[in-house]
Amino acid sequence: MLRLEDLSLSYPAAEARAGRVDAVAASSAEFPPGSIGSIVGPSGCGKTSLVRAMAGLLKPSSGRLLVRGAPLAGIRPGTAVIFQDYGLLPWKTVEANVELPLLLRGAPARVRRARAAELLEELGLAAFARFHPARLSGGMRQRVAIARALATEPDLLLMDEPFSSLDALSRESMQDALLAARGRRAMTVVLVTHSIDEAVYLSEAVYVMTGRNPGAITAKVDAGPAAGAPRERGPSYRSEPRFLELCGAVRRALEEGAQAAGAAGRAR
Amino acid sequence: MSPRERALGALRTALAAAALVLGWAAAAALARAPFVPSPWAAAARLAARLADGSLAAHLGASAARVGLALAVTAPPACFLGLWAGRSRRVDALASPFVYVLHPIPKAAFLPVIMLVLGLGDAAKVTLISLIVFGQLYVSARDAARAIPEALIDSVRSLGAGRADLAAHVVLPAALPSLLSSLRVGLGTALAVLFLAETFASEAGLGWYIVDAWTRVDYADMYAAMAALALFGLASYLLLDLAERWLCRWRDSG
Repeated sequence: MLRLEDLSLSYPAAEARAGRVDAVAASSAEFPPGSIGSIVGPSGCGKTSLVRAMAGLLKPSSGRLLVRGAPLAGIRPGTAVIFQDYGLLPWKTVEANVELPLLLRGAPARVRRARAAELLEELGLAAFARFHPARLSGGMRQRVAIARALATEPDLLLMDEPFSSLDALSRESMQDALLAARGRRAMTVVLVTHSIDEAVYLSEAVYVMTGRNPGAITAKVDAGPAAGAPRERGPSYRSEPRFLELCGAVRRALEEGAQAAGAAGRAR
Repeated sequence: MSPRERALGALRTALAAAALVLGWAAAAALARAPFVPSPWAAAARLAARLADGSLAAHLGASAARVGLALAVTAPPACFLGLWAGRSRRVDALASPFVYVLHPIPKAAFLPVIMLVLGLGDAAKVTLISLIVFGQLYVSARDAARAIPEALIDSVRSLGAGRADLAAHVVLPAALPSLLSSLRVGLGTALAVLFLAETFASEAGLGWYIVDAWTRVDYADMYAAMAALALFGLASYLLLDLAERWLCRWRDSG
Protein backbone atom coordinates (compact mmCIF):
# COMPACT_ATOMS: atom_id res chain seq x y z
CA MET A 1 0.00 0.00 0.00
CA LEU A 2 2.69 2.45 1.08
CA ARG A 3 6.41 2.07 0.42
CA LEU A 4 9.33 4.27 1.39
CA GLU A 5 12.47 3.70 -0.68
CA ASP A 6 15.61 5.43 0.58
CA LEU A 7 13.49 8.43 1.39
CA SER A 8 15.22 11.64 2.50
CA LEU A 9 13.42 14.78 3.59
CA SER A 10 14.38 18.34 4.31
CA TYR A 11 12.44 21.50 5.02
CA PRO A 12 13.30 25.19 4.76
CA ALA A 13 14.90 26.57 7.92
CA ALA A 14 13.02 29.21 9.89
CA GLU A 15 15.70 31.67 8.84
CA ALA A 16 15.76 31.87 5.07
CA ARG A 17 19.56 32.28 5.02
CA ALA A 18 20.14 29.02 6.90
CA GLY A 19 18.99 27.05 3.85
CA ARG A 20 17.34 23.71 4.49
CA VAL A 21 17.29 21.44 7.51
CA ASP A 22 17.76 17.70 6.91
CA ALA A 23 14.93 15.98 8.76
CA VAL A 24 15.05 12.39 7.54
CA ALA A 25 17.86 10.47 5.83
CA ALA A 26 17.61 7.45 3.53
CA SER A 27 14.76 5.55 5.16
CA SER A 28 12.90 2.55 3.80
CA ALA A 29 9.73 0.86 5.00
CA GLU A 30 6.82 -1.08 3.64
CA PHE A 31 3.21 -1.05 4.81
CA PRO A 32 1.16 -3.82 3.17
CA PRO A 33 -2.53 -3.22 2.33
CA GLY A 34 -4.86 -3.63 5.30
CA SER A 35 -2.08 -3.70 7.86
CA ILE A 36 -1.33 -1.42 10.76
CA GLY A 37 2.28 -0.37 10.91
CA SER A 38 4.04 2.09 13.14
CA ILE A 39 7.12 4.19 13.23
CA VAL A 40 8.54 4.69 16.72
CA GLY A 41 11.16 7.20 17.67
CA PRO A 42 12.04 9.87 20.21
CA SER A 43 10.92 13.48 19.81
CA GLY A 44 12.87 15.36 17.17
CA CYS A 45 13.79 12.32 15.08
CA GLY A 46 11.83 13.56 12.06
CA LYS A 47 8.60 11.62 12.61
CA THR A 48 6.35 14.57 11.83
CA SER A 49 8.26 15.33 8.64
CA LEU A 50 7.74 11.71 7.65
CA VAL A 51 3.98 11.99 8.21
CA ARG A 52 3.85 15.24 6.25
CA ALA A 53 5.69 13.54 3.38
CA MET A 54 3.41 10.49 3.44
CA ALA A 55 0.44 12.88 3.42
CA GLY A 56 1.81 14.62 0.33
CA LEU A 57 2.45 17.88 2.20
CA LEU A 58 6.25 17.66 1.90
CA LYS A 59 8.16 16.58 -1.21
CA PRO A 60 11.00 14.05 -0.84
CA SER A 61 14.44 15.56 -1.39
CA SER A 62 15.62 12.17 -2.59
CA GLY A 63 14.39 8.59 -2.71
CA ARG A 64 10.83 7.57 -3.46
CA LEU A 65 7.48 7.38 -1.77
CA LEU A 66 5.11 4.94 -3.45
CA VAL A 67 1.39 4.61 -2.79
CA ARG A 68 -0.21 1.61 -4.49
CA GLY A 69 2.96 1.32 -6.56
CA ALA A 70 2.86 4.86 -7.95
CA PRO A 71 5.03 7.77 -6.77
CA LEU A 72 3.06 10.11 -4.52
CA ALA A 73 2.49 13.37 -6.37
CA GLY A 74 0.87 15.43 -3.62
CA ILE A 75 -2.20 15.39 -1.43
CA ARG A 76 -4.17 12.28 -2.28
CA PRO A 77 -7.95 11.97 -1.83
CA GLY A 78 -7.74 8.44 -0.42
CA THR A 79 -5.36 9.40 2.37
CA ALA A 80 -6.62 10.79 5.69
CA VAL A 81 -4.37 12.27 8.36
CA ILE A 82 -4.87 12.69 12.10
CA PHE A 83 -2.54 15.06 13.90
CA GLN A 84 -1.78 15.21 17.62
CA ASP A 85 -3.43 18.56 18.31
CA TYR A 86 -4.98 21.23 16.15
CA GLY A 87 -6.75 18.66 14.05
CA LEU A 88 -10.18 20.11 14.65
CA LEU A 89 -11.36 23.60 13.84
CA PRO A 90 -12.41 25.17 17.16
CA TRP A 91 -14.98 27.44 15.46
CA LYS A 92 -16.88 24.55 13.94
CA THR A 93 -19.19 22.21 15.81
CA VAL A 94 -18.33 18.51 16.08
CA GLU A 95 -20.80 17.83 13.28
CA ALA A 96 -19.40 20.56 11.03
CA ASN A 97 -15.85 19.33 11.63
CA VAL A 98 -16.78 15.81 10.54
CA GLU A 99 -18.63 17.17 7.51
CA LEU A 100 -15.74 19.41 6.44
CA PRO A 101 -13.85 16.94 4.19
CA LEU A 102 -17.14 16.11 2.45
CA LEU A 103 -17.98 19.80 2.09
CA LEU A 104 -14.55 20.39 0.53
CA ARG A 105 -15.33 17.66 -1.99
CA GLY A 106 -18.63 19.26 -2.88
CA ALA A 107 -20.92 16.60 -1.35
CA PRO A 108 -24.55 17.77 -1.03
CA ALA A 109 -25.74 18.78 2.46
CA ARG A 110 -28.04 15.78 2.84
CA VAL A 111 -25.22 13.32 2.14
CA ARG A 112 -22.86 15.17 4.46
CA ARG A 113 -25.30 15.21 7.33
CA ALA A 114 -26.21 11.54 6.98
CA ARG A 115 -22.57 10.46 6.78
CA ALA A 116 -21.54 12.58 9.78
CA ALA A 117 -24.45 11.28 11.86
CA GLU A 118 -23.47 7.70 11.01
CA LEU A 119 -19.83 8.21 12.04
CA LEU A 120 -20.67 10.11 15.21
CA GLU A 121 -22.99 7.25 16.15
CA GLU A 122 -20.24 4.69 15.46
CA LEU A 123 -17.73 6.54 17.64
CA GLY A 124 -20.17 7.21 20.45
CA LEU A 125 -20.38 10.95 19.84
CA ALA A 126 -23.98 11.31 18.68
CA ALA A 127 -24.96 13.32 21.77
CA PHE A 128 -22.20 15.86 21.15
CA ALA A 129 -22.87 16.70 17.51
CA ARG A 130 -23.73 20.35 18.23
CA PHE A 131 -20.89 20.95 20.71
CA HIS A 132 -17.80 22.95 19.88
CA PRO A 133 -14.51 21.04 20.40
CA ALA A 134 -13.55 23.23 23.39
CA ARG A 135 -16.33 21.59 25.42
CA LEU A 136 -15.03 18.05 24.83
CA SER A 137 -12.33 16.11 26.66
CA GLY A 138 -9.08 15.36 24.85
CA GLY A 139 -10.12 11.78 24.20
CA MET A 140 -13.46 12.80 22.74
CA ARG A 141 -11.77 15.38 20.54
CA GLN A 142 -9.53 12.69 19.08
CA ARG A 143 -12.62 10.54 18.51
CA VAL A 144 -14.03 13.43 16.48
CA ALA A 145 -10.73 13.60 14.59
CA ILE A 146 -11.05 9.89 13.79
CA ALA A 147 -14.65 10.36 12.66
CA ARG A 148 -13.56 13.22 10.41
CA ALA A 149 -10.71 11.15 8.97
CA LEU A 150 -13.09 8.28 8.21
CA ALA A 151 -15.69 10.54 6.57
CA THR A 152 -14.12 10.19 3.13
CA GLU A 153 -13.68 6.42 3.47
CA PRO A 154 -9.89 6.53 3.10
CA ASP A 155 -7.82 3.48 2.16
CA LEU A 156 -4.80 4.92 3.99
CA LEU A 157 -4.96 6.51 7.43
CA LEU A 158 -1.88 8.33 8.73
CA MET A 159 -1.66 9.27 12.39
CA ASP A 160 0.92 11.55 13.97
CA GLU A 161 1.06 10.96 17.75
CA PRO A 162 -2.73 10.83 17.80
CA PHE A 163 -3.08 9.88 21.46
CA SER A 164 0.03 11.44 22.99
CA SER A 165 -1.68 14.27 24.80
CA LEU A 166 -4.20 11.94 26.48
CA ASP A 167 -3.98 10.39 29.93
CA ALA A 168 -3.08 6.68 30.07
CA LEU A 169 -6.64 5.38 30.43
CA SER A 170 -8.17 7.44 27.63
CA ARG A 171 -5.17 6.54 25.49
CA GLU A 172 -5.86 2.84 25.90
CA SER A 173 -9.56 3.22 25.22
CA MET A 174 -8.77 5.27 22.11
CA GLN A 175 -6.37 2.57 20.90
CA ASP A 176 -9.21 0.04 21.19
CA ALA A 177 -11.60 2.46 19.47
CA LEU A 178 -9.11 2.72 16.60
CA LEU A 179 -8.78 -1.07 16.34
CA ALA A 180 -12.58 -1.40 16.34
CA ALA A 181 -13.04 1.27 13.67
CA ARG A 182 -10.38 -0.34 11.51
CA GLY A 183 -11.87 -3.80 12.00
CA ARG A 184 -14.96 -2.64 10.11
CA ARG A 185 -13.01 -1.27 7.14
CA ALA A 186 -10.42 -2.23 4.56
CA MET A 187 -7.89 0.39 5.47
CA THR A 188 -4.13 0.58 5.90
CA VAL A 189 -3.03 2.46 9.01
CA VAL A 190 0.37 4.03 9.53
CA LEU A 191 0.93 5.34 13.01
CA VAL A 192 3.79 7.52 14.14
CA THR A 193 4.37 7.57 17.88
CA HIS A 194 7.00 7.82 20.60
CA SER A 195 5.18 5.23 22.71
CA ILE A 196 6.66 1.74 22.39
CA ASP A 197 3.68 -0.11 23.89
CA GLU A 198 1.22 1.82 21.73
CA ALA A 199 3.17 0.78 18.62
CA VAL A 200 3.40 -2.88 19.69
CA TYR A 201 -0.23 -3.05 20.83
CA LEU A 202 -1.62 -1.66 17.59
CA SER A 203 0.67 -2.78 14.82
CA GLU A 204 1.90 -5.76 12.87
CA ALA A 205 5.24 -4.12 12.06
CA VAL A 206 7.16 -1.55 14.07
CA TYR A 207 9.82 0.55 12.37
CA VAL A 208 12.35 2.12 14.67
CA MET A 209 13.59 5.60 13.94
CA THR A 210 16.68 7.12 15.60
CA GLY A 211 19.10 10.01 15.24
CA ARG A 212 18.28 13.64 14.83
CA ASN A 213 18.58 16.12 11.96
CA PRO A 214 18.50 13.85 10.13
CA GLY A 215 16.85 10.88 11.79
CA ALA A 216 16.47 7.60 9.95
CA ILE A 217 14.58 4.34 10.12
CA THR A 218 17.23 1.93 11.43
CA ALA A 219 15.37 -1.27 12.25
CA LYS A 220 12.15 -3.18 11.79
CA VAL A 221 10.55 -5.32 14.50
CA ASP A 222 7.89 -7.77 13.37
CA ALA A 223 4.96 -7.54 15.79
CA GLY A 224 2.36 -9.46 13.75
CA PRO A 225 1.08 -13.05 13.86
CA ALA A 226 4.39 -14.32 12.44
CA ALA A 227 6.09 -13.02 15.57
CA GLY A 228 3.57 -14.79 17.80
CA ALA A 229 1.26 -11.80 18.34
CA PRO A 230 -2.51 -12.36 18.14
CA ARG A 231 -4.39 -11.30 15.01
CA GLU A 232 -7.33 -9.95 17.00
CA ARG A 233 -6.22 -7.80 19.92
CA GLY A 234 -7.93 -6.65 23.07
CA PRO A 235 -6.98 -5.26 26.47
CA SER A 236 -5.78 -8.70 27.69
CA TYR A 237 -2.96 -8.61 25.11
CA ARG A 238 -1.32 -5.82 27.11
CA SER A 239 -0.43 -8.23 29.93
CA GLU A 240 0.66 -11.18 27.77
CA PRO A 241 4.37 -12.17 27.89
CA ARG A 242 4.59 -11.93 24.08
CA PHE A 243 3.51 -8.28 24.22
CA LEU A 244 6.14 -7.47 26.83
CA GLU A 245 8.83 -9.34 24.85
CA LEU A 246 8.01 -7.42 21.70
CA CYS A 247 8.12 -4.12 23.64
CA GLY A 248 11.56 -5.19 24.87
CA ALA A 249 12.70 -5.92 21.33
CA VAL A 250 11.59 -2.48 20.13
CA ARG A 251 13.29 -0.84 23.10
CA ARG A 252 16.57 -2.65 22.33
CA ALA A 253 16.36 -1.62 18.67
CA LEU A 254 15.85 2.01 19.76
CA GLU A 255 18.83 1.86 22.11
CA GLU A 256 21.09 0.25 19.50
CA GLY A 257 20.03 2.84 16.94
CA ALA A 258 20.71 5.67 19.37
CA GLN A 259 24.20 4.27 20.14
CA ALA A 260 25.01 3.90 16.45
CA ALA A 261 23.79 7.44 15.78
CA GLY A 262 25.88 8.72 18.71
CA ALA A 263 28.98 6.90 17.39
CA ALA A 264 28.40 8.27 13.91
CA GLY A 265 28.07 11.75 15.42
CA ARG A 266 31.41 11.38 17.24
CA ALA A 267 33.14 10.01 14.12
CA ARG A 268 32.06 13.14 12.27
CA MET B 1 -19.88 33.97 29.45
CA SER B 2 -22.95 33.13 31.44
CA PRO B 3 -25.95 35.50 31.43
CA ARG B 4 -25.06 36.33 35.03
CA GLU B 5 -21.51 37.39 34.10
CA ARG B 6 -22.89 39.37 31.18
CA ALA B 7 -25.36 41.19 33.44
CA LEU B 8 -22.54 41.95 35.87
CA GLY B 9 -20.41 43.31 33.04
CA ALA B 10 -23.24 45.60 31.90
CA LEU B 11 -23.75 46.74 35.49
CA ARG B 12 -20.05 47.60 35.82
CA THR B 13 -20.16 49.63 32.58
CA ALA B 14 -23.21 51.50 33.87
CA LEU B 15 -21.45 52.20 37.19
CA ALA B 16 -18.35 53.50 35.38
CA ALA B 17 -20.55 55.85 33.34
CA ALA B 18 -22.34 57.02 36.49
CA ALA B 19 -18.98 57.66 38.22
CA LEU B 20 -17.82 59.74 35.25
CA VAL B 21 -21.01 61.82 35.26
CA LEU B 22 -20.73 62.37 39.03
CA GLY B 23 -17.10 63.43 38.63
CA TRP B 24 -18.19 65.89 35.96
CA ALA B 25 -20.96 67.24 38.21
CA ALA B 26 -18.47 67.68 41.07
CA ALA B 27 -16.02 69.49 38.77
CA ALA B 28 -18.80 71.77 37.54
CA ALA B 29 -19.87 72.55 41.11
CA LEU B 30 -16.29 73.30 42.16
CA ALA B 31 -15.25 75.28 39.07
CA ARG B 32 -18.35 77.52 39.02
CA ALA B 33 -17.17 78.61 35.56
CA PRO B 34 -19.39 79.06 32.51
CA PHE B 35 -17.13 76.76 30.47
CA VAL B 36 -17.91 73.80 32.77
CA PRO B 37 -21.69 73.49 32.72
CA SER B 38 -23.23 70.76 34.84
CA PRO B 39 -23.94 67.42 33.17
CA TRP B 40 -27.68 68.06 33.68
CA ALA B 41 -27.49 71.32 31.75
CA ALA B 42 -25.58 69.61 28.96
CA ALA B 43 -28.04 66.69 28.98
CA ALA B 44 -31.01 69.04 28.81
CA ARG B 45 -29.46 70.87 25.87
CA LEU B 46 -28.60 67.59 24.15
CA ALA B 47 -32.20 66.42 24.55
CA ALA B 48 -33.49 69.74 23.17
CA ARG B 49 -31.11 69.67 20.18
CA LEU B 50 -31.98 66.06 19.43
CA ALA B 51 -35.68 66.85 19.76
CA ASP B 52 -35.59 69.84 17.39
CA GLY B 53 -33.50 67.83 14.97
CA SER B 54 -30.64 70.33 14.71
CA LEU B 55 -28.01 67.86 15.95
CA ALA B 56 -29.28 64.98 13.85
CA ALA B 57 -27.82 66.30 10.60
CA HIS B 58 -24.40 66.77 12.22
CA LEU B 59 -24.49 63.39 13.92
CA GLY B 60 -25.48 61.86 10.58
CA ALA B 61 -22.65 63.60 8.76
CA SER B 62 -20.07 62.42 11.31
CA ALA B 63 -21.42 58.87 11.43
CA ALA B 64 -21.43 58.70 7.62
CA ARG B 65 -17.78 59.79 7.44
CA VAL B 66 -16.57 57.29 10.02
CA GLY B 67 -18.79 54.51 8.66
CA LEU B 68 -17.69 55.11 5.09
CA ALA B 69 -14.02 55.29 6.07
CA LEU B 70 -14.20 51.99 7.98
CA ALA B 71 -16.30 50.29 5.31
CA VAL B 72 -13.85 51.31 2.58
CA THR B 73 -10.69 50.56 4.57
CA ALA B 74 -11.41 47.46 6.62
CA PRO B 75 -11.96 44.92 3.81
CA PRO B 76 -8.77 45.67 1.83
CA ALA B 77 -6.67 46.16 5.00
CA CYS B 78 -7.85 42.83 6.42
CA PHE B 79 -7.50 41.03 3.11
CA LEU B 80 -3.97 42.28 2.51
CA GLY B 81 -2.99 41.72 6.14
CA LEU B 82 -4.27 38.15 6.23
CA TRP B 83 -2.58 37.42 2.93
CA ALA B 84 0.73 38.85 4.15
CA GLY B 85 0.40 36.74 7.30
CA ARG B 86 0.18 33.58 5.21
CA SER B 87 2.62 34.44 2.43
CA ARG B 88 6.22 35.42 2.99
CA ARG B 89 6.35 37.04 -0.44
CA VAL B 90 3.34 39.31 0.10
CA ASP B 91 4.65 40.17 3.56
CA ALA B 92 8.05 41.10 2.13
CA LEU B 93 6.38 43.34 -0.46
CA ALA B 94 3.68 45.06 1.59
CA SER B 95 4.95 45.25 5.16
CA PRO B 96 7.93 47.57 4.56
CA PHE B 97 5.57 50.20 3.12
CA VAL B 98 3.19 49.88 6.05
CA TYR B 99 6.09 50.04 8.52
CA VAL B 100 7.56 53.17 6.99
CA LEU B 101 4.17 54.91 6.78
CA HIS B 102 2.69 53.68 10.05
CA PRO B 103 4.66 55.80 12.57
CA ILE B 104 4.28 59.02 10.54
CA PRO B 105 1.53 61.13 12.13
CA LYS B 106 -0.81 61.10 9.17
CA ALA B 107 -2.93 63.86 10.70
CA ALA B 108 -0.07 66.11 9.58
CA PHE B 109 -0.94 65.20 5.99
CA LEU B 110 -4.34 66.88 6.35
CA PRO B 111 -3.29 70.03 4.47
CA VAL B 112 -1.83 68.00 1.59
CA ILE B 113 -4.87 65.74 1.43
CA MET B 114 -7.15 68.76 1.37
CA LEU B 115 -5.09 70.41 -1.35
CA VAL B 116 -5.33 67.29 -3.48
CA LEU B 117 -8.86 66.12 -2.74
CA GLY B 118 -10.52 69.43 -1.96
CA LEU B 119 -12.18 70.53 1.23
CA GLY B 120 -15.09 68.10 1.08
CA ASP B 121 -15.82 64.72 2.57
CA ALA B 122 -13.35 62.88 0.33
CA ALA B 123 -10.41 64.44 2.18
CA LYS B 124 -11.87 63.68 5.63
CA VAL B 125 -12.70 60.08 4.79
CA THR B 126 -9.28 59.59 3.20
CA LEU B 127 -7.48 60.85 6.28
CA ILE B 128 -9.39 58.49 8.56
CA SER B 129 -8.81 55.60 6.15
CA LEU B 130 -5.07 56.21 5.98
CA ILE B 131 -4.78 56.08 9.75
CA VAL B 132 -6.99 53.05 10.31
CA PHE B 133 -5.49 51.03 7.44
CA GLY B 134 -2.10 50.46 9.09
CA GLN B 135 -3.62 49.34 12.39
CA LEU B 136 -5.95 46.85 10.77
CA TYR B 137 -3.26 45.57 8.41
CA VAL B 138 -0.76 44.85 11.17
CA SER B 139 -3.22 43.04 13.44
CA ALA B 140 -4.67 41.01 10.56
CA ARG B 141 -1.20 39.97 9.50
CA ASP B 142 -0.13 38.98 13.00
CA ALA B 143 -3.35 37.04 13.58
CA ALA B 144 -2.90 35.10 10.33
CA ARG B 145 0.74 34.43 11.14
CA ALA B 146 -0.17 33.02 14.57
CA ILE B 147 -2.30 30.23 13.10
CA PRO B 148 -0.55 26.93 13.91
CA GLU B 149 0.99 25.34 10.82
CA ALA B 150 -0.43 21.98 11.92
CA LEU B 151 -3.96 23.35 11.70
CA ILE B 152 -3.33 24.51 8.14
CA ASP B 153 -1.72 21.15 7.29
CA SER B 154 -4.62 19.18 8.69
CA VAL B 155 -7.17 21.08 6.62
CA ARG B 156 -4.96 20.97 3.51
CA SER B 157 -4.72 17.21 3.92
CA LEU B 158 -8.53 17.09 3.71
CA GLY B 159 -8.23 18.50 0.21
CA ALA B 160 -8.68 22.22 0.91
CA GLY B 161 -7.45 24.71 -1.67
CA ARG B 162 -6.42 28.32 -1.03
CA ALA B 163 -9.96 29.68 -1.04
CA ASP B 164 -11.14 26.89 1.30
CA LEU B 165 -8.29 27.60 3.70
CA ALA B 166 -9.15 31.30 3.70
CA ALA B 167 -12.84 30.66 4.37
CA HIS B 168 -12.61 27.78 6.86
CA VAL B 169 -9.35 28.49 8.67
CA VAL B 170 -7.67 31.87 8.19
CA LEU B 171 -10.69 34.17 8.41
CA PRO B 172 -12.40 32.49 11.38
CA ALA B 173 -9.08 32.15 13.23
CA ALA B 174 -8.29 35.83 12.76
CA LEU B 175 -11.81 37.17 13.30
CA PRO B 176 -11.53 37.87 17.04
CA SER B 177 -8.32 39.88 16.46
CA LEU B 178 -9.85 41.68 13.51
CA LEU B 179 -12.88 42.76 15.51
CA SER B 180 -10.72 43.91 18.44
CA SER B 181 -8.54 45.98 16.19
CA LEU B 182 -11.64 47.36 14.48
CA ARG B 183 -12.76 48.59 17.91
CA VAL B 184 -9.39 50.21 18.54
CA GLY B 185 -9.51 51.63 15.02
CA LEU B 186 -12.94 53.08 15.69
CA GLY B 187 -11.56 55.06 18.64
CA THR B 188 -8.75 56.39 16.47
CA ALA B 189 -11.18 57.17 13.67
CA LEU B 190 -13.35 59.29 15.98
CA ALA B 191 -10.32 61.22 17.22
CA VAL B 192 -9.21 61.92 13.66
CA LEU B 193 -12.77 62.74 12.66
CA PHE B 194 -12.90 65.57 15.17
CA LEU B 195 -9.68 67.02 13.82
CA ALA B 196 -10.79 66.70 10.21
CA GLU B 197 -14.17 68.26 10.90
CA THR B 198 -12.69 71.34 12.52
CA PHE B 199 -11.28 72.38 9.13
CA ALA B 200 -13.36 73.79 6.33
CA SER B 201 -16.56 72.07 7.41
CA GLU B 202 -20.18 73.03 7.64
CA ALA B 203 -21.49 69.82 9.12
CA GLY B 204 -20.44 67.18 11.60
CA LEU B 205 -20.17 67.05 15.37
CA GLY B 206 -16.55 68.25 15.26
CA TRP B 207 -17.61 71.36 13.39
CA TYR B 208 -20.59 71.82 15.74
CA ILE B 209 -18.34 71.67 18.83
CA VAL B 210 -15.96 74.31 17.46
CA ASP B 211 -18.86 76.43 16.24
CA ALA B 212 -20.53 76.35 19.70
CA TRP B 213 -17.17 77.23 21.20
CA THR B 214 -16.84 80.36 19.03
CA ARG B 215 -20.48 81.22 19.79
CA VAL B 216 -19.54 80.95 23.50
CA ASP B 217 -22.53 78.63 23.95
CA TYR B 218 -20.92 76.15 26.33
CA ALA B 219 -24.03 74.08 26.99
CA ASP B 220 -24.31 73.56 23.24
CA MET B 221 -20.62 72.65 23.04
CA TYR B 222 -20.96 70.04 25.77
CA ALA B 223 -24.15 68.69 24.25
CA ALA B 224 -22.28 68.01 20.99
CA MET B 225 -19.33 66.50 22.87
CA ALA B 226 -21.71 64.20 24.70
CA ALA B 227 -23.34 63.26 21.38
CA LEU B 228 -19.92 62.36 19.98
CA ALA B 229 -19.11 60.29 23.08
CA LEU B 230 -22.44 58.49 22.98
CA PHE B 231 -21.99 57.78 19.28
CA GLY B 232 -18.57 56.28 20.05
CA LEU B 233 -19.98 54.19 22.88
CA ALA B 234 -22.87 52.92 20.76
CA SER B 235 -20.54 51.88 17.91
CA TYR B 236 -18.25 50.20 20.40
CA LEU B 237 -21.11 48.21 21.90
CA LEU B 238 -22.31 47.26 18.41
CA LEU B 239 -18.88 45.84 17.55
CA ASP B 240 -18.81 44.06 20.89
CA LEU B 241 -22.14 42.42 20.15
CA ALA B 242 -20.96 41.47 16.67
CA GLU B 243 -17.87 39.83 18.13
CA ARG B 244 -19.88 37.94 20.70
CA TRP B 245 -22.21 36.64 18.02
CA LEU B 246 -19.59 35.83 15.39
CA CYS B 247 -17.17 34.19 17.84
CA ARG B 248 -19.70 32.16 19.82
CA TRP B 249 -17.38 29.16 19.68
CA ARG B 250 -15.04 30.80 22.18
CA ASP B 251 -17.79 31.23 24.77
CA SER B 252 -18.73 27.58 24.76
CA GLY B 253 -15.47 26.49 26.45
